[in-house]
Amino acid sequence: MKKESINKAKLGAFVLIGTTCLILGLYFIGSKKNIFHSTIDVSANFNNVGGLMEGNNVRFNGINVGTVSKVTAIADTLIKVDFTIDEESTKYINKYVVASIGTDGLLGNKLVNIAPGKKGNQPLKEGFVLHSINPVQMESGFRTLSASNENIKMITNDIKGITGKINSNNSILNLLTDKSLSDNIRNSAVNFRLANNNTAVITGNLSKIVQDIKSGRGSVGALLTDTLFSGKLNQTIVNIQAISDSVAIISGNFKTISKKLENGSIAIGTLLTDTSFIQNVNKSMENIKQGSRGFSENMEALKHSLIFKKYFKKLKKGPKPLE
Amino acid sequence: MKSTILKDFLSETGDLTRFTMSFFREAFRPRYEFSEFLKQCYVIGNKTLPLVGITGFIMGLVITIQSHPSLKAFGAESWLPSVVSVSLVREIIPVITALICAGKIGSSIGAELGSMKVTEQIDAMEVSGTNPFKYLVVTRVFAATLILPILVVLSDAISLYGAYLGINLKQVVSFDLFTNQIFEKLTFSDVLPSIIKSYFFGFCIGIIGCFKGFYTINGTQGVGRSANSAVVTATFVVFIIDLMAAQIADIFQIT
Repeated sequence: MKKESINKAKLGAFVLIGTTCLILGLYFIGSKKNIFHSTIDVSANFNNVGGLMEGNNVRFNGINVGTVSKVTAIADTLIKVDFTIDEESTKYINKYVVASIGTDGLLGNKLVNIAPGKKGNQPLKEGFVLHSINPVQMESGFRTLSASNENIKMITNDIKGITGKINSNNSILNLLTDKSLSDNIRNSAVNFRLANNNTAVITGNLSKIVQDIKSGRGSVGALLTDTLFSGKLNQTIVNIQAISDSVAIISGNFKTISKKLENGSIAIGTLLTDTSFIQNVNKSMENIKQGSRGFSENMEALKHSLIFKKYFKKLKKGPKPLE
Repeated sequence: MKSTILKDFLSETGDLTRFTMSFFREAFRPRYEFSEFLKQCYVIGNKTLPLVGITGFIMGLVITIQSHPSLKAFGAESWLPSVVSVSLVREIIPVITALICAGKIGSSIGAELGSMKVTEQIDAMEVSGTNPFKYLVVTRVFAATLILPILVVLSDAISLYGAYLGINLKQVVSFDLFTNQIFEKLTFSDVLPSIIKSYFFGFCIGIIGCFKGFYTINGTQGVGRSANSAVVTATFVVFIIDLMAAQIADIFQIT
């Protein structure tokens, strides 16, 4: 009998523990679904809910605040989503919040995201219809991504060509990487700096010279500032002009003379232009040459003649010395 | 030969149906054998709990360890508590518990009633004015029907603890986070159908065990055959009921 009562107690414990486990499990599940909290029912309309189902979570700034209670189509392009929100959470949610449909992670369940909208103090009330943003369609996203991929492909091809050109021997990059060029540029810069310095010095000197000239110092200054000299210079220029006029007249005369010479209208012109005269002169010169050769022969014969032989010997010996 | 097997099968099905109807007829009619019912509850519940608990713990641990690499391949290790808890609560633990009970309870009821039948104790009870059906069958079937869901709930709890330990073998998950994750994903539609089908499992195990034992023939050989037949039939029926439960849940969108 005692054993039987112990068995009954054990059975009671078994049943109680089992029932408690079941009740606790159901309570925890229910509390996660906001069944044991006071809630308010609100709704939002979407064009496309992307597979949202009853029981999906509702999140406000990432915190679970409720669950989707009903999804119904109210028009051909309008879906009404009813959801319950934990009343305790509504003190932070005003009526300007915006509902959107998202995904828990990349491949997770669909859910309704509630994001804060305009600032305001009017709290969310039972039966309110929230503003909504329609979900991004994966298909359209992939379509855009495909077009972007094509563009990226073309751009990368272009970049490939550009980098090939940059790396080629004829590119400007080689010039940029050439050490001798950089040395030259550095030297040029040094020279340029030196030239700059020199220029500064020269400019200073020039400035001094200009100052001196302005103040009449030095020969140039004296020249430029001396009024007497300028008068003389003017006179000289006038004289030069008169001389040049005379030269022009003389050159005109020379021109006339040369024309006359060409035409042979004067004696010298005739001499210079007459070809028969030149031939005659040549002939005369030939005759003189022949005549001089004959005279030379005659003189040689005279030297050997008896009459003048003695004279030539005497001439050869030279004058008789004085005693 | 074929026609004999079919005839036997149909005949047995008919007998089982009649037996079940007798159960319902006797179950709600006084007098109630409450003391025997509690005794059977103790035998079926408390005596089976260690076996069911150990099995549940091992199943939770093993399912978690086996699921870990697959989920890790997808980078979804954080989903392990949710995935394991749903699969354990929805399907694995109810079926495993039912199969163990079919083996343990079904065989014990079949053998007990069978031996009572062949030793004519049942006939003696009838002669002494005790309704054997009420005393032996109704109490056992009720006990099996009501205790099996409790066994399933306890086994669920133990298996989830096993899953918690299994997860912490590979990664560090706090108990709070684990319970949050499993209750986040579990819904009433996961828990309630599994509890409801457990009642059917318990009822079938009880009624088949009693039926096989109650109609035992051919002496002590028949007792062994009855016990064996009770286990086989109950196991088979458990799977049939599980299939039907899945179909009904699908039809009513309880997923």
